[in-house]
Amino acid sequence: MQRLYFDIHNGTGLTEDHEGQAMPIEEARAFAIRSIRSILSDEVLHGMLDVTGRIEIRTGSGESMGRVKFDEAIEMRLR
Amino acid sequence: MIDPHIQRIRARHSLSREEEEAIRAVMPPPIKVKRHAMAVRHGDKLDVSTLLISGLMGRYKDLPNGRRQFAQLHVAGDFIDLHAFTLKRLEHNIMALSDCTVVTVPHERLRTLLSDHPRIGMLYWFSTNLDACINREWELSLGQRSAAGRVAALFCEMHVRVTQIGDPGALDFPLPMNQSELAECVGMTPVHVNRTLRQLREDGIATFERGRVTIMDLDRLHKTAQFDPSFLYLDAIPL
Repeated sequence: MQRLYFDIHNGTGLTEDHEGQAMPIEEARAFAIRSIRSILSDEVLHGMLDVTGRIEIRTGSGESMGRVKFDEAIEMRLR
Repeated sequence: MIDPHIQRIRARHSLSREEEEAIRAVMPPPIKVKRHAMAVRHGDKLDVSTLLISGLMGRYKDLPNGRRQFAQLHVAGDFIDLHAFTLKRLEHNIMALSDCTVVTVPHERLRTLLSDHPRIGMLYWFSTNLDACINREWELSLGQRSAAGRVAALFCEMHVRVTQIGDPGALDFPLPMNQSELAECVGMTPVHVNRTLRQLREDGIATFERGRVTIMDLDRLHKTAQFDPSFLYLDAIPL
């Protein structure tokens, strides 16, 4: 099974994934969404919500395998 | 071979030469356990308890969907399942997080050891109580600490436990697991843990790389975790 890497790009810059996860590509998007929700939930507990970031999914050789923007991971109702 | 176990007992309690010899006498030869192998499997009938001599092991439970939560880590010198002496099966799994060495002590030998040396029974009872203290601290983390607080609290605890024998006070110590396993200890996703580690590193508090923790600022690590080491009973009352 191939190893996929999930780099976070957001307000604090790039957090590069050096370790990766062995997983089928069809699970990558759900994994990224779960990760974004985990990050945002911790931010909300501290009174902040910054949905301007994204996770870039890539292979070890740097080939892009997709992108999930933070605001795609949650349904927001502002009114 | 079982020196780490003897040292770990003596870190908190006295142990006479006779008691030490009695413990050594019940220990069979060591066995190697490969990284990621299961040491104890959920539901298996157990007539031995396993003493970890070297390496790192983790106790975990999982859901049918594969999501896993570690409940405790075990370091060299710990019995990983002394509670199996009375439970006879575990409702959780214990896996090797690194290559490990163990001895598996038959319960019959433990029974004889404890009837001949009741004080060793007290010391082993203390150690299962200490396991429960650590579990409660992890509950506090999972329920109440922030992401950075959870990771920091784990580093604080393991700093004490890993360096307790051998190199007390060392600010650099092995924690041979990957970020995914660390994530399963603190109830976060690996990606979130990666970002949290970056924050701890950039704040000059601690780094976790290639299975080693390096503490850059112990005081701030303790503050981030709101760490109170009293749950580790380092100042245990003599038994």
